[in-house]
Amino acid sequence: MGDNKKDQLQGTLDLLVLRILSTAETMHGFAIAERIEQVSKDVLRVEAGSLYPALHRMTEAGWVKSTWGVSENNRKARFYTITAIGRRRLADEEAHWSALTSAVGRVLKNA
Amino acid sequence: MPALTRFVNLFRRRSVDGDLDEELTFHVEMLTDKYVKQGMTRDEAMGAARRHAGNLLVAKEDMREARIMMWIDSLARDLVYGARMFLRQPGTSLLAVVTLSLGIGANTVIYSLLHAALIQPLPFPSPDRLVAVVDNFATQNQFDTGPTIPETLDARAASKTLDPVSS
Repeated sequence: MGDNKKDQLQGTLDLLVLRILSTAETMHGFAIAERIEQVSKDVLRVEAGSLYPALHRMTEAGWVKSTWGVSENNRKARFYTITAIGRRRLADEEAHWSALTSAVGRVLKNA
Repeated sequence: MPALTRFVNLFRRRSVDGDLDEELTFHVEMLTDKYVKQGMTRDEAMGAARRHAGNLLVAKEDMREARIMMWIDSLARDLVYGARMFLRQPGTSLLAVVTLSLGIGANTVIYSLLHAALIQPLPFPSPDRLVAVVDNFATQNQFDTGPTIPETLDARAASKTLDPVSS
């Protein structure tokens, strides 16, 4: 895994979602997307078309679990919570990400 | 997601899709609200929200695919794991195989016997009409003895209600 570009982008989205979820009790998909845009100062935009497949994939993998609840404006929404497996996964992905970016940084600076 | 849920999901695809629809609709509605708050008209906001949400049909396909792929993936991983364990500890694996085959074999034997003895009908046309003819000699304290051959032949010849089938 992680060989082609799509996988890498997906992995990055997983990382962002897990990180956002690790800071909150529980969140619905829209709030996760908003939070990513807000924290990244609108640089990263998350489309529903990639967010929800990612959330469902992570649910299948047991990294997050979901329950139906009522949103802040009284609408029915699915809320996602990070699991213990998800937290371990987040730590791995974070380590992997910083190793990768610092390696790319070194190449850019010193090559 | 627990295995049971995943298994159940295989059979309730339509309702899972309904869940997805509901979730995506919620997302588009929330986006619309956000755009309205930013000053768009309701219609503009709805259009923008749909565009921003991306291709939801593709998303739904992806989610369905994710479920099926996970299913196949974990099956494949289990098979590979099984094969690897077999190679690593062939002794233990063989022991398990032998134990299982003996167990299954013994079970099959017992149930085959039970089937033949209790469930399969006797090899006669209407087994519920079978009777056994026996001699009881109360004075000699002899019961349930088989009739002698001449007795049997006499009984066959004289009988009006019984068909002779076996002796």
